[in-house]
Amino acid sequence: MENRIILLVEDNPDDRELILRAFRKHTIGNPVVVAKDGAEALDLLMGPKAYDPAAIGFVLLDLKLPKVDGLEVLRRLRANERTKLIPVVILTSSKEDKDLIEGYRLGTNSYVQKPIDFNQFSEAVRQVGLYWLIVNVPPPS
Amino acid sequence: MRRGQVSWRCEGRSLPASARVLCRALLLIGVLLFPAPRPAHAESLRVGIYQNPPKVFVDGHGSPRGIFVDVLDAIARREGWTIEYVHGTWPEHIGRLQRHEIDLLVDVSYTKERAEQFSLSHVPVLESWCDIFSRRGTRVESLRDLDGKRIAVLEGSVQEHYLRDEVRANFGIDFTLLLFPDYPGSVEAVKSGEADLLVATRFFSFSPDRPEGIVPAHVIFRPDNVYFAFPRGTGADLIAAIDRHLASMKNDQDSPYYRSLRRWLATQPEPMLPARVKAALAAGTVLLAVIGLFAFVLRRQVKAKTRELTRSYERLQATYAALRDSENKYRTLFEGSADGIFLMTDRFTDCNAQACRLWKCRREEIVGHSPAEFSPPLQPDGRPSDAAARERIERALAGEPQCFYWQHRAKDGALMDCEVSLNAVEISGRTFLLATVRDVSARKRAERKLTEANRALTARSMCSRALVCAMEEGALLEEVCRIVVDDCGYRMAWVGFAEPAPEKAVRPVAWAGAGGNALGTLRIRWGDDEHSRGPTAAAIRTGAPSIARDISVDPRFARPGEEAGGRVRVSVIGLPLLEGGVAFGALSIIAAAPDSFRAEEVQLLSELASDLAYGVIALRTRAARRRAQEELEEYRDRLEEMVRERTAQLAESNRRLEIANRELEAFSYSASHDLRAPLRSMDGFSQALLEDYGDALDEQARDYLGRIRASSRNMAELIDDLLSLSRVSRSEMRVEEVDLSAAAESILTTLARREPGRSVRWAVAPGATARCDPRLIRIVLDNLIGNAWKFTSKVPEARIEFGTAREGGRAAFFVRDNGAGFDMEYAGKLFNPFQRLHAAGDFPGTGIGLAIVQRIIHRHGGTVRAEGKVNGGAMFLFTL
Repeated sequence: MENRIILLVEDNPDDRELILRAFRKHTIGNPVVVAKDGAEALDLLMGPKAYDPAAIGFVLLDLKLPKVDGLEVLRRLRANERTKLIPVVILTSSKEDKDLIEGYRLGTNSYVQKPIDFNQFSEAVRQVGLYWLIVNVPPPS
Repeated sequence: MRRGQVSWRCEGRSLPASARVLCRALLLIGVLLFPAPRPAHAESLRVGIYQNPPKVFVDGHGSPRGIFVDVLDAIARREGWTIEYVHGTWPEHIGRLQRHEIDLLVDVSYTKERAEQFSLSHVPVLESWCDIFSRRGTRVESLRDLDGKRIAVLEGSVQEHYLRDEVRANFGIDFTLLLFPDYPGSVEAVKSGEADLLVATRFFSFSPDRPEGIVPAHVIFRPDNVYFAFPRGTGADLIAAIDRHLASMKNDQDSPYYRSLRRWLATQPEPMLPARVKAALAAGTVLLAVIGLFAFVLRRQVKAKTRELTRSYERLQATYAALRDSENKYRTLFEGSADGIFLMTDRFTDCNAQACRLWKCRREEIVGHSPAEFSPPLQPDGRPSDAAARERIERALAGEPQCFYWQHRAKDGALMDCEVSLNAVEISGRTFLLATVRDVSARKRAERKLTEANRALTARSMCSRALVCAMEEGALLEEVCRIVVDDCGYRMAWVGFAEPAPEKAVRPVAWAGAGGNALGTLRIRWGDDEHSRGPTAAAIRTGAPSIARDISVDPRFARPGEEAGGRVRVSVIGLPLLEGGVAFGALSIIAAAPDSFRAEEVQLLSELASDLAYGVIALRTRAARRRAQEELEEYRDRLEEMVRERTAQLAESNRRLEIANRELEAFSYSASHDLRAPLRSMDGFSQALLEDYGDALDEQARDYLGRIRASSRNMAELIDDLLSLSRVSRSEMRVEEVDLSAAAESILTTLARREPGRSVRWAVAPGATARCDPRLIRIVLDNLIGNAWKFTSKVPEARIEFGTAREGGRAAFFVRDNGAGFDMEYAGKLFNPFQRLHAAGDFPGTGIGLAIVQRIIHRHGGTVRAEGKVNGGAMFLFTL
């Protein structure tokens, strides 16, 4: 439980660095697997060498991604029997209605806009991590 | 011919003196044997007599004698009257009659003047005429021979008046009249050479006052009847009694009347007794012995002569009777004729009873007058009656019998259509015209009525056909006018349309017949001026047919400077062309004869006009419908074209809009994601530097990092606002009834809760609702109330009010505060995006709020405006 993987799907290296910094800052020590685009994320989740879904604590999913965008990743994830129960938290710059509605419709578990202020950003990351790794009871494997 | 004049004259001359003496003796005996009985209830009549034998006179013994005396005595006997004869001269009697000094005057000819002055009996006593008497050998053949002569006449007699007043004037001759109170005076004047001629009635031939040497010229003129005259106001009983007896006696050949006529008119004038007696006595004394000797021979001769004379007298009596029978026969034919019969030259000399009935006047009022006096000034064909009559008379006198139609006018003014024939006849060596006049008015009227009804009927039926075939208004009107004139025989027809006020002109649009081209110059109008008096104008004004039966005498046609008599005699009818009871024009028809357009013809022509009006309206409606349809089709074609163009334009602009929207969407989306990421990096890594290397940095470096972070956040806020603005434009509208009061209350409550330190008093008008998008209106109120909250933050007693008002007739809502306010000079800029009127340090905000408010209000079709004053508060008022 303690070592469940956090799958971070984020193409922007700055954001990747800031998110990892926030994890570090809040001493969340779970392994973080990074996918730099949607295709890579799908490969990691449903590819031949995919992680066991039960091993994944949650997916932190950006929406605007090269190759396959975040919402498409979510759709395929939910469409797949094996991966459809994996908790997904959308963490993105946008809070456009379109994204919010589509995200929830496709079955995201949570939607968080990235705050500009790093303190708030770091706080948001902390809360998400704690919640999905500790407070939330994951689906049975 | 006057009755028996020739035979009486012959008789009077040839009867011997002995027979006369015999008759007188017999009469004397009769009078002595049968004296007049005294009337039972005596009515005394004073009768004026004068010396005019044999009609009336006083004989040598002072006894009244003559025809009138015989007649009056006979009547008095029958009625039981007493008669007192008053002797005098004619002028004296006229005076007495006027003063009622006598009850009756004998031997009075009819004149208008006398008929007015006195009462005249109605049954004529004698038929009389005037004659000219002169010394034997004086040549007198006609009235013209009176020229330059000295003429003796009875003073106050009809002869005097006639010669003085009429002959002089009518014959263009001049003469001197010598007036005498009695005939002996006149005779003396002629004998002595003081006078050339004597004019008296025909009875003077039989008068003993006439010496042998003074003879009648047989120039017959002024025939008349002789009556009894009574003072004005005499009882009708007396006159009626005299008339009754006279009429009865005139019907009986053996009555005292005829006996008297035979007696006085068959005898020679009584010899001047005293002279003759003296001569006889002298001769007797001288020849006494001779008479004794030849007494026997003489007696035998006398006997033989007497027998011869008696036979001659009997023969003459038989001739007289035959003549009388013949005369009676012709008189019956003459008087009994159903035609008026006249004997005339250029004037009437005689006429029958039917003529009097025809022209409703007495014979005396006809005789001596000309035919033109019994005609209207103009004949129906327009010729002056006197000229036309003269021409006919001259041609008839020249031996060419005339038969023609003529319009006569009776004494009472009634016009009658007559058939007249004129034939020349010879009477007593003189040429007369025998004229027969037959009143054919009734036949003419019937013929005319039929003709008029026929032409109107033809007009109506032919016009009906024209109406059915009509395609175009102008052609229809022309055709109707043409039919009325060419096919139906009217003189002219035209149609005029009524122009509206103020001109009220009648514009001729179609015509046919004589004078149509002059219509335009008449400038007919239908108002109230002198151009609006004719039937056409009247028909338009009143909406009913108007008729002028003779425009030559109709004052409505009199125009300034034009003599009525100079116009042709025609009838005109104006028939209104009606639409909904109002005339839009008139059909006017002119008939060539006066007095046309009687009831039946008017009825038919009115129906024609009604048909025509209906036809015109129908054609106009049809034309208007066709025009409207054409316009509609054209309009429809254009509309279709327009719709196609507009649709294409719309499709194009829609396509562009879609592209723009997609681009905007893409831009917003991209901005939302990509523009914020760098800001996050700037803030995040600045923070990382402070956290990780804070100790290595001096105060200034940390301050710079702080500024980078602040700018990043500021930039992020601007981006968020921009995106909100764009979202307001792009989001879909969802309109429903929204409780604005509740929304405002909720917003204020939230604000108060968020900033509990603020002390703000607010007032929200209850029940303010509007149909709008609830989410968008919430943004409006958030902004406006949020602003009010924000800009009152430096006021000790902040007040915020939400209420309703009217703006340009529409419901309006306002948010008012007593905060910082603004300078009205910049009011127009308030709603521009990112426009701020306050330093960011004083009041936070990017200046996007009012831009969003305006965009939302505009999307609702409303308006928004602001009022304010620096440090005096602000008010924002909007409609939806």
